[in-house]
Formats: sequence, structure tokens, C-alpha cells
Amino acid sequence: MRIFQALMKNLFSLFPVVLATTLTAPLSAQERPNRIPAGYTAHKIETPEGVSLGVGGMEFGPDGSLFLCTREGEVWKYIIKKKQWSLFADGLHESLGLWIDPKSSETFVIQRGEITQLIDTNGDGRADLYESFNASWGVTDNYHEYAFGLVRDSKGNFYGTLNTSLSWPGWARSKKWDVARVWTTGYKDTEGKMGRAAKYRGWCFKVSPNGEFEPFAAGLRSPAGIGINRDDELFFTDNQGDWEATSSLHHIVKGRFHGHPSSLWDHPDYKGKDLNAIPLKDYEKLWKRPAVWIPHGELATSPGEPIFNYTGGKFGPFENQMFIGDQGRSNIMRVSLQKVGGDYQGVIFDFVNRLQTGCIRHVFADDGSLWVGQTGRGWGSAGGKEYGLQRVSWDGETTPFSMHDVKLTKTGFRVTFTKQVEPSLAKEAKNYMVERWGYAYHPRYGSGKTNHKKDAPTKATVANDGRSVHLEVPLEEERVYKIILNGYKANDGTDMVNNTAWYTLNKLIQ
Amino acid sequence: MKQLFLITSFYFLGVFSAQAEEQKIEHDVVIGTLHGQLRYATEVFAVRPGSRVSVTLNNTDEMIHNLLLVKGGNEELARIAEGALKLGAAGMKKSFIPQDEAIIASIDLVQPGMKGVIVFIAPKETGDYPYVCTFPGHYLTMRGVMKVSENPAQAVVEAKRIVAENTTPRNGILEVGDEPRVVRVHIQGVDSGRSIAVGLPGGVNYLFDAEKLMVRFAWTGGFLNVAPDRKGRGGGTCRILGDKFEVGATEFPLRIGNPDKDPKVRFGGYSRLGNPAFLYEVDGAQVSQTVTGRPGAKALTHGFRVKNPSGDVYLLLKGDGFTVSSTAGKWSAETGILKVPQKEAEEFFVSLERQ
Repeated sequence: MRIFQALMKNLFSLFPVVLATTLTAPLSAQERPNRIPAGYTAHKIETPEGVSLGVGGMEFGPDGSLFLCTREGEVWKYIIKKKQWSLFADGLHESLGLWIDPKSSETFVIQRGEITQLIDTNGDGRADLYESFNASWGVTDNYHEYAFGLVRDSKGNFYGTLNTSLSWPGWARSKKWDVARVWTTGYKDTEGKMGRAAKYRGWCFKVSPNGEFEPFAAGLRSPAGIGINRDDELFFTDNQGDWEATSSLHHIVKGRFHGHPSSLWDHPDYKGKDLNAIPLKDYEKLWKRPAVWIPHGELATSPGEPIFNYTGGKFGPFENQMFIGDQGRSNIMRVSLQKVGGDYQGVIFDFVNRLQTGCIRHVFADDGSLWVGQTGRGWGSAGGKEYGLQRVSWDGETTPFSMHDVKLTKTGFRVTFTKQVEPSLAKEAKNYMVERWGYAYHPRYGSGKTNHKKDAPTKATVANDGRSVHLEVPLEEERVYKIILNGYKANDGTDMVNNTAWYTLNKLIQ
Repeated sequence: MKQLFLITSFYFLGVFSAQAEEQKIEHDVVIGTLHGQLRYATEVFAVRPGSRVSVTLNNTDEMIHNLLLVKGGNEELARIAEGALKLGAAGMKKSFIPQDEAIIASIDLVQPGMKGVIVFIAPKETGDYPYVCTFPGHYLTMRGVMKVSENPAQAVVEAKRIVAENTTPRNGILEVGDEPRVVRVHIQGVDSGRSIAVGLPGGVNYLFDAEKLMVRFAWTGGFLNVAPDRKGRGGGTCRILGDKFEVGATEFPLRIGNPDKDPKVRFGGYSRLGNPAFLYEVDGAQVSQTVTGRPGAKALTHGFRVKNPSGDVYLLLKGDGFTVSSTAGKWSAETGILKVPQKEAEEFFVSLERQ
């Protein structure tokens, strides 16, 4: 069998032209993840045989067909009803983001060194004009210099995120490997792993509709996913590493510094300054904490694109919430945000665990199903496959028993549910476990939990409608609260699938 | 003028197809043209000694081409091409076919979308007879070989094997089929983060640098090994296959008004209709550049179209060991600068061949 597969691969590399023709895939198969809420199913979409399809970006065209771009530099079109694949563009440099105009179907792709508009001038279904839209950032042959995207706000501005350069001899390759590697006073120079070998590495950028580039926010490390909500608010996920205690979700605002100092090399206020002479506490003061910490290993190891659920109820009871896939754990997580003291913080839950391989890109279809673009690419994704495409859909009727949200109050947390809880279980404070901890901000690779404490809530109060519980808990700023519900059941006897919530408490309610 | 050529093509079609019915054609060969590539679609065919041969030039390209069958080698081809250029203003009228004893048969200029036919008796002597397009700028790359052999089928198989020998099919190898390939990659030893590898049919490959707007180098034979970039996490630099050769790479080689000043440039992308055309701006002038070559030869021809230059156009080519010829302007090997007068820059071809 293996030999046959290897042979098929060789055949395809022999005849690249074959790939250009339309391929029809067999029926999609349903696969059952270990944990998935009731009413939801995961389907596998068959991808073109023999084609390595490490998904880097996904979007639906105005006609309802799915477009996806790949790490291998190709853009594929999938006509869902016919289960038909065709190649739209190829030869791109590691394309990790896609944007298609929902009306005009103008197609933009972000590759390592450029945002490119792909135009099919002769209407044969293949792009033939690869127009450079913007290429204002620096890129060297350093392999970690990914360019991620691509989102557009209601005014037509594009946003994307630029990975820092991997700064380590032997790995970096670019001769500029140690430029802007920051380890700061008191730390060893081996502790700043990422740097800036070219302009605007570690930045979120904005490109206006007429193509003007603007460095927008700094301090990003490995920002593999960017998302936007209905109010044009931007979010990105980052991966654990130097200066990044654990994986995280950040709210991007113009001028913000999100934590990794290498990007400051290109900041006008830091021009010509020795970034290693600046004390750590100065960086910490400048640093905007992530809206949501995603505890490493417990929940995720390398999160991808955040996407908002505006399906109008077609994806179950989690309207307006955010979903994030993880490349390493191959799971899908769910986030609900809360504005406290003018800034976002919030809660994250596991949702589906796990799918067939690393989940990095997501898009909701018109029917409300969540399409998940996947890539494993050597980082040991839990799902095991090298690449793939799956679809998670809701049956339209089954309400799973689940925490719906967790909100901070002045004295604790209010946990709301999708169904009425069984009151005799819910009112028992011993059925709840609460842990809290902080993270260190430092140049070292990741951080363990600091000031780790376990508390039981002092009081659990069930609301009259049975749909929420208030937990009184000792509250402290700059902590992650992990709330576990033990032996919980709904009033109708159903079990809870994901019984843990992680709430990032940056600020208390004043 | 244009009409005249159309008539000429029809004339050939009419006369020779009538003849063909009367006398048996042993080899009926149709030679197409590759879109924008300054290449014949058929670069080798074989016939029996003394046989009656019909050659049709089916010009599917957007440029005008002719076809001259020659007895001899590079020396004769160069002489004929030079003779064609010397026709000057009379060139179009004479289809750029000079008087030369080495020419065995010829097809006059054929307009885009048209056909031209010639019927002739093949030489009795076995061997290779090159054919070439002598429209100015085309001769270096637009060539093929007619093999005269007792076993024509075998001769073609052997000839094609020579072109293909560098392409070993295995994982990570990108190959070029009938269509050009354009692939953005990091290439081993190239410091640009914005390199674009182009592979043309027949093992003609080059690397275009979208930052410095220059052709870095070229290579013949196999195209690319991208496995280091595609396996696992990737991140390895890709390798070119085949034989690399230098092409006078200079940063921002195209300049306007002043050859000594770095121009203000913007890369605009590329078109993949036919031969890939790179689009960019140099000091406000719109430039389109195509590149082509000849299978197996260390030679390239650049086609430049410069729209509204504000002054004379200069092309800088560094290094030595190659000869340069151009359809416009004046090349100085001493300074390594080709100067093309402002008025002649609308379209010109520059050929470069390693000695």
C-alpha cells in the first residue's frame, strides 16, 4: 500500500500538468473526534489525490465555491456540490492567507514577500496575471519569516501579521540572523531566540485600499492567525516562545506593543537604540497583555486563525463567539470576550478535540458549517495527518449541554449554560474546582505557572431560571482562572462534554 | 503592409497544397510557435534522405516569424542572421531572408494566426540541418533542427532524450512540461527573499529577482528541487537542477536617462499568458520584460517593452565571457552598457550568448 502511494506521488510529480485538470473527489466521510458536543459532527473532505495541500488560507467565493491557498504555493478551487477540485494559481511563495471580495470576487493572496492580486484575464479558470499589490516589508531567506493574513475591514484596508526571524546560527541562514535579538539585562544572550533580519518583522501591518503600507502594531512573535469582527476590531493569536509565556489571543489596536521586543528595531521611537540596554521592566510597562491566555499543552500549543461566528444560529448556541483552531493539538477552541476597564479579556473553552491534523484556517459557509483548513508540516500535530480539510456542522436542533459563557463579576464569576442545570449539583460549592496562576514576562522560551493557587469557591448560587451559576471566588488581577465543573449534569440528565473554562483576568471590575 | 504579408502566406498555402496532391509528400511537418517565447513549438524533426518534405509554419504566437532551413552550423546561422539585420529598412519587404548559399529552403514572414508552407526535397546527405527565425532579435533562441536520417523515428527519440536527460523524477522535483512554470522560492546561495524561478519548455530556466529587477542567472536542463522547502517544517533553500550560467547580472539593470544612477522602481507582478512577462516601473516608465533561451545553449534573449521613457534607455550587463547583440541601440562591451535611444525603446530584443 505504501509503495503504491509513493508511486502515485511520483507519478504526479512527473506530470504536473495533470493537476491543472479538474479532479473529482469521492463522497466525504464522517469522522468522530474524541470529544465533540452533542449535535455537532465532523466531516472529512477528500482533497485532490496526490496533491500536498497544507492549507494556508481559505475563503468562499461569491458563487459559494471554496478557495484555499496552500503552503505549497497553490490556490485551489472546490465546487462543493460537484465535489470538484481545480487549480486556480500556482508557484506562490508559501501562501498563508487569502481574501476574496464577496461581491466582485477579486482575489488577493498573501505570500512571503507580497500581497498579490490573482486575476484571470482570459476567463479560462486559471489566474494569468499575478499583480503585486504591496510588498513593503522585508523578507530574507530566513525560514521563519512567514507572512500571515489576510483580513480586510469595512473600509477596504487589509491587515496581516509578519513573523519574527528565527535568530540562531545554523537555522537562520540569513547573515543578519542576530539583528534585534533581545535578551535584555540579567538574562543570557542565548535567551532571545527570535529577531529581526529584515524590516517590520514582528509587526501587524495595514495596507490601505490604494496600496499604502502602514506598520500598525508591534511586539508580535509567531502570529499565525489574524481575525476581524463585525466592528472592524482586529485580533491575532501568538505562539509560545521567547517573551511569550504561553500561546495567546491579542486585541490589536494601532500603536500597541504586544510583547516581543525585536520588532521595536523598526519603531521610530527606538531608532538606533540598543534594545538589550533597555531594562525588562520598561518593556513590561509598554506591553499590552493578551486578552486571553491559552495555556500551553493544556489547551493548545500553536493556535491559528480566530474567526467569529455570525451564522445567525446555524452553528448552534454560540452566536457571536470566536473559534480558534490549534495547529499542534488539532483541536478547535471557543472564546467569549468581555470588556473590562476599556479592554478585552475573556474566557476560552475546548470545543472539538480533536480533528485529523493541525487546524490553522477557518471559514464559515453559508449553511453555517465551519470549514477547517489543516496542516501538520512537521510540527507533530496530534491528529497525525500531513494536511487536510474538514467541516464541522451542527444538526440544527440538538442543544449540547455546555457552559455558554463565563463573565467576571465584582465578587467572582457568572457561568451561564446552554440548558438548565441540575440545581442540587450546581449549588454545591464542592462541585467546582478553581485554580489561578500568573505568567512571567521574560526573554526565556515560555513560562511556567507562577503564584499557582487552588481555591474552592466560597459560595455557588444558582439563578432562578437555572441557566446560570454565580461563583464567589477570591479575585486577583493578571491571573488565569481555571474553573472545572465536576460531575455536572443538565436538568434533562445530559452530561457536559467540555467541563473546563479558562478565564484571563487582566483587570478587576472597578 | 500587413495585408501584403497575409497575401504572401495565402499564396504559399495555395500553391504548395495543390502541388502536394500531385506528388506524394513523405513527411508533412507542422511547426507551431510558442506564445511569446521566441521558440518554435517543434524544435526537432527528422526526415529520410532525398524525401519530399512539406513544412508548415503555423504561427500561433502574437509576433511575426519566418523559417529558414540551413546547411551548416552556428557560423552559418550567425552569418545569415547578420545578413537579415543588414537588410535594414528593406527587411520587412524581403521577409528578413538575405541572399545566402547556405539557405536550403525558407518560409516568408508569417503574421500572427496565419500559416506559411514550403515543400522541398530533403538533402541526400544525412546529418543535422538547423532552422531559424531571422526576424530581428529572434535568431538566438528561435531555432530547431531537421535531422536527415535513414531512421527518422529513432533520430527524434534520441534527440529528445538529450533535452530531457537532466530531469530525474523523484520527490521534490518540479518539472516543466509544455507550459512555462513560474515558482517563487528561496534558492540556495541567493540572498534575495523575492526570487522567482522560471522554467520554460525544453530545459531553459532562469531566476528573476523581483527586488533588484534583474535576471540573477540562468540554467539549462532540469528545473528545481523544492524538497528542502516542502518536507516537514520546510525552511530549506531550494536547489536548481541542470547547468548554471552567468548572464551579466547587474542590480537594476534597466535605467532611464542616466546609467549611473540607481532608478526609482516598483515591481508590478507578472503575466502568465504565454511566455511569462515581468511588469515593473523604472523612473515612471512602464516596463514589460520577457526572457527566453535555446534548449541546451548558454544563451538568453531579453525582450523589453518600455512605455514612455523620459530619456534614453540603458541596459547594464556586468562581467565578460559573453557576446551581446540588440535589435536597437548600441552595445559597448567596454562599459557593459547598451544604450537605446528613447524613440527605439518601445520594443527591443537583447541577446546574450556565452562564448
